[in-house]
Amino acid sequence: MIKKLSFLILSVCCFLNTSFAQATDKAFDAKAIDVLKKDGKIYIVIAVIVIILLGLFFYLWRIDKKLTRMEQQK
Amino acid sequence: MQKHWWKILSLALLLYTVIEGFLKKIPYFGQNEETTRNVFFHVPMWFGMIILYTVSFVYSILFLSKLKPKYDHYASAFGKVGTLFGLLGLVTGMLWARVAWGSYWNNDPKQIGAAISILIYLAYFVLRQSIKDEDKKGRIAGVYNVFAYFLMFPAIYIIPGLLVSSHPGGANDEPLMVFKMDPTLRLIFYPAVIGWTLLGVWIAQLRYRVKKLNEQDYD
Repeated sequence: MIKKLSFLILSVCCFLNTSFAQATDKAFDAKAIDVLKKDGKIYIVIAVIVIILLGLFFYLWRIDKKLTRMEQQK
Repeated sequence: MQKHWWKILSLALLLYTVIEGFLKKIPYFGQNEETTRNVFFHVPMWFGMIILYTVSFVYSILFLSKLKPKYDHYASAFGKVGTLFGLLGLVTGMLWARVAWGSYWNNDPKQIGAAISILIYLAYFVLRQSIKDEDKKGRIAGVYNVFAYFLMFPAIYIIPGLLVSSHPGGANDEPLMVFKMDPTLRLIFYPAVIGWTLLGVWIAQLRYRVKKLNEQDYD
């Protein structure tokens, strides 16, 4: 558990680090944001819901895996 | 992986629903304008609920004829997720009604019928909780579930169909409104129903497996 948690924290740190390091690559980022801002910014809402769906399914997937492991232990 | 394809299908269909449901140019019905898109999210809750309750009903019948505890656990799990979908349908419907009809609760026949139906199912879970003996619990709850299932159709379909309603399918509307739904809407609506229902099946299956593990602990 602690191992997993520290891995998670580390990977988040790495991600933040690289995204700050890539701040120079602003042109690409700005272009991507421009696409998201089209049509009254509806794409942002869609992206938010897609992230929620992905998170929800990932969570269910984890529970599923955990149950499988517990069933195998019996 | 072969066992899990339908979970991935569920995610794919829901992603399709969300993306197409927001972006596609759709014909509005009535005064609903953009809230017509609620058809892709609010209505599948009810379709999902009916499908999950049907599965629960079938498992109750199976339990009553074969008396295997497994069937009773499945009936309970699907009933619970069906009720969750029903509650979500009720709450989303109330929010939509506030905008479309002016108030959260309008005593629309379909609203009342849906609330009655959910209350009947809540009593099913109270009944289950109140009986300790597993065999007796399964039999009595199974019979009650059959009763609850057959009351659902008059409550949410037949009686509201005889009365004047703001919902489609009332006496002031042609019957079976959903079957003459616009083809553009249908193209997103039916995948949405399948996606949400599969998600419900997955959650019910997880509930059943937790229940089974718990029982093995006591043995």
